[in-house]
Amino acid sequence: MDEATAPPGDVLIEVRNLKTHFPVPGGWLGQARRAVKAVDGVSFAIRRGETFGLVGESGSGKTTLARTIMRLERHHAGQVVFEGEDVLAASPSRMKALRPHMQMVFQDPMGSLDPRMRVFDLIAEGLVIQGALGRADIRGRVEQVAGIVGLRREHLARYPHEFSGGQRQRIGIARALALRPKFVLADEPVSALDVSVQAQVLNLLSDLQREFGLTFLFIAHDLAVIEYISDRVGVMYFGRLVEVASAGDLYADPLMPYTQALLSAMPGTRHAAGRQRIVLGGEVPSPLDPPSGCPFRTRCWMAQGVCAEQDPPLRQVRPGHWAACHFAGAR
Amino acid sequence: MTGAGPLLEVRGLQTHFRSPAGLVRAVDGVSFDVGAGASLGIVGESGSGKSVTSLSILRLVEPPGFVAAGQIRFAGRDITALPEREFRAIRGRDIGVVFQDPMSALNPVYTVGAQVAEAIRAHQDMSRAKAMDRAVELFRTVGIPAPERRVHDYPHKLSGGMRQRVTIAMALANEPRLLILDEPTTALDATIQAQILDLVLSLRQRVNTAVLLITHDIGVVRDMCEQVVVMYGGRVMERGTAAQVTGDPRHPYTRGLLASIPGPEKRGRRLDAIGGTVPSPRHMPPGCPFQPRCPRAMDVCSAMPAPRDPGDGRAVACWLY
Repeated sequence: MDEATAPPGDVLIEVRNLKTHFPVPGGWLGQARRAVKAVDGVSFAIRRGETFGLVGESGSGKTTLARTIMRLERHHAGQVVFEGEDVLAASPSRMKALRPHMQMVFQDPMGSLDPRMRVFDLIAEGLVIQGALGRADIRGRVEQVAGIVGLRREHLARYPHEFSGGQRQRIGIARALALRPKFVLADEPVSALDVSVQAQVLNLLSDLQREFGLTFLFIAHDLAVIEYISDRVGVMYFGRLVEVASAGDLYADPLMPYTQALLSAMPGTRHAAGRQRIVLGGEVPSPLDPPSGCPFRTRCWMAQGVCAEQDPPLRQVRPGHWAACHFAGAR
Repeated sequence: MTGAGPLLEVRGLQTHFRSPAGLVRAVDGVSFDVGAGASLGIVGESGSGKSVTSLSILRLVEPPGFVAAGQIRFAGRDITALPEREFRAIRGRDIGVVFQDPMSALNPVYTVGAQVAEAIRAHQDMSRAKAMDRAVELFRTVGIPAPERRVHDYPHKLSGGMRQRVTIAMALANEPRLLILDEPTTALDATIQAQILDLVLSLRQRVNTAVLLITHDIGVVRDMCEQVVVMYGGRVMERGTAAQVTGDPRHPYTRGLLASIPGPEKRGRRLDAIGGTVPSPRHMPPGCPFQPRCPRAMDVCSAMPAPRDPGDGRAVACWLY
């Protein structure tokens, strides 16, 4: 299953059987030490120039997965292979060399931008740490990326609080771009923005991808945003990747019951012809007390005996379409 | 008292905030009606004045904010002029309210059942035990499993979706004639949002309460409401049926808003985004607040147009019509 979700073509980054577990503090003597399996065996690969969208509800593990890929969270097992090299096993000096190629854009630009730094210094920070460019070159690069994301020269002398949410996200994007990365991981980059501003930022990200051949891992809970921006989409539930397909296939013909329910819950589609609404009962199970077998079986209307006994692996049901369900494709 | 008029009538509402930089007109002349048993959605981006409108109706605007002008009639009575004591008898009884964050509406030190029972007893002469039975019944109505046990839980024991069901139960406790839902599902996941919205729709059929829904999500309004008001910069830009406004928008702002929403048919194309940013209420342009971002702006837009009917019963506040 490790290589299963690797698409044909030129893979830039591949996540292999990644696990991030958080030990639960406390517990009595003699009781087995428990752990929350926030990311529990996730594998996928992203082609060069591709946008891979990752959707999931809160608690699905998508943000922990993102942070683990970027080495902001300690992994428990697995690999993140970037251009043939396991990032998670890289030495600090190798990591310093790899870091410029892998950059991140965060949801809350205010929380990720130091309020005491001017915009110029915020954008230049990575370049200064990198130490490869002289002062004049750094200035040139900062002015260049600021222009690309639509900031004006006079903005560079200002502080983050002087900007609107949309402009702050442009600063966050400029910060990531300054290092000329190959791979950008964007974690909920438009979730905090108003719809009209969200559209501007989505357009900007698409333009940048085309212009610089960027590869994106784009994480969002908004299903419409993911459908619009992604070439391929992965759905997370309870720390697992439960379905992967091209955006077109996934939205037109979801195979995993959870994906079906998730898509039918998209707002604005209630009155759409041919849409049958599936309202899921119950809630995501407690990560401290995971169900046996398939993690979705406690909410699944198709669950049968086998679902409690065997955890369904992510398998290729159709060419390019993977699903973790015992019954996927059987109907 | 019910008469023939609408249940809720908002006319020329002005809600302002005093600030060191001058007066901020957060709501600047808003008018709409909600009929008995009807549903109206107010949709807008941040700073549009939609939440201040709902707080004004509930008389929950706090200083430095104040209702500067306009009328809010509920069942024929102007509730802006009522003494606070009399209005309190209406809020919580005839008008139920659900906010975005259920934790802010629930007291962490009382069980959820006790809080719903208290909401009932605040407006009805009922024994503690009977009110608790009624709370169990309400929990069942809003789809909380094992309600007999759940009433004894404290708020922190419940998930976000369950907490929101509790606040809906509380809002329904006295069979209100109007339910105000202010971003009720914004903090919830998609599948839980769908559960809550389905609950509200089924409740509307069963208890015949009118609904005023405040949201930033035009898709939610399309699913939930018969009538829609689109607000921007403290003003109503367009008002009509959900089908008119979301299917065939007329105001350039409504058009821009709908064009900004990503959809499958727009894949591989740039979104037709509205340029610029939502103006700060402190720096509102004169005339039409959308004018600086409007692709069809004209000289005349420096004066605010009155709402006009373009011929199909809706109202559009734009000089194009």
